[in-house]
Amino acid sequence: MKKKNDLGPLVRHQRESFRLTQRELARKLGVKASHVAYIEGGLRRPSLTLVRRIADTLGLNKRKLLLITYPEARYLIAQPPQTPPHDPDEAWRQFSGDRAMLSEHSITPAELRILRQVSMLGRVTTPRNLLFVLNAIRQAVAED
Amino acid sequence: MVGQILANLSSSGSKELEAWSNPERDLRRVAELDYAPSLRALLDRDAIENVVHSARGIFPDLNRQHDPVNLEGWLKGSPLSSIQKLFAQVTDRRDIHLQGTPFTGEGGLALRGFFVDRDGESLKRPLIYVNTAHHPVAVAATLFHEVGHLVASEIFEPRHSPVQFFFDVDYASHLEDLGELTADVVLSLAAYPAPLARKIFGALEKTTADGKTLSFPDRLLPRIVEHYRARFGVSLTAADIPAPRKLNYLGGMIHFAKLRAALLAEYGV
Repeated sequence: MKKKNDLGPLVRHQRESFRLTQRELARKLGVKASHVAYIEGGLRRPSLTLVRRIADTLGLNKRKLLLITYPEARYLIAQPPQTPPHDPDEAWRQFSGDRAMLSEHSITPAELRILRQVSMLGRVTTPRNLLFVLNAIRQAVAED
Repeated sequence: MVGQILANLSSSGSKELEAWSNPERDLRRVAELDYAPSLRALLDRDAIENVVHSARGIFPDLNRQHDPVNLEGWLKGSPLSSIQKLFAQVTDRRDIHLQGTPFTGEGGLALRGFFVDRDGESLKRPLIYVNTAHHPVAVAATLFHEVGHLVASEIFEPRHSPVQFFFDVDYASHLEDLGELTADVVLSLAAYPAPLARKIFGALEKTTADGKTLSFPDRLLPRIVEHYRARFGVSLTAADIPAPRKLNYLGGMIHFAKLRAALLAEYGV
């Protein structure tokens, strides 16, 4: 038996506001009426797929519903506090704007052009990554 | 499986999770996508044969037997020597730069590796970088992926971007990119050599004989996870792999299994 949670009352309230019986909701979700009853009673935790269907059917926010159902998932989907939205150009701006760092690492204009292309790939999230890539390439070039 | 991993998550790994900006969407996309159309659109049978032929210049037993990589040492507890042998196989057969160092810390672990093609001027040989901070099996997988980029650079038109990165995220986007898909094909052939692929995915092959879309039932997931445990000694329940990374690895496992199944179903490879 699953531990009771807040999902059940929310589903029940929303179902009733849609004027659906448990059987009608179950039909829309593709499950047995007893399963809906168990969920509303806090005795079952729906699968991720079913959470999505419940949200779609009852007009609930998927993210909130997921977190209510799987509180442990908050570490995966919550944005870290005080972290601005990811900007693909941010790493590049930090990197290219840090004159002291560019000087310290003797980064040439040609290298900057290459790294600009690298940053445009959009997945290099920190100036540290750019430096790491640069040093790897430099080492290879030095060996040639 | 996903639920188990989620349940074991601790806040200590939260930094690493930044790379997973939207994990449920990422996993769902990989799980729901039909891989066959993307494969057909980017790589036809001739192209796949060229890829295999070229990759066999480095790994002669690729897709021929159960252990194309000499993995005896792995299961006997010396994975590092196996990795070293793998690295040597690559450098012995191609004139390239191969760097294998750990890259940890913020944003570091999210990077599995990268490939830089020669530019004919300053960089005369291609460069493969492999992040060795990961589990040995993940390190080997990264090497196969990057070798796949090397193969792609040799048999396809040159790419515009100088560097191809391999991150444990957004595998679905690989299906729209010739270089990434080629790299993943090499990896998936290494993970599932033909005899093994037929054993695991053979039933799926039959379902596509009449042109229907390739279904990938959930029941295969435990077999795939068990495959990695039995052959490579990597377990998603192992305590020594941080929980966030387990989810990353799981996404990769599903992606490469689906790609391997599509290769078998579409081209009998």
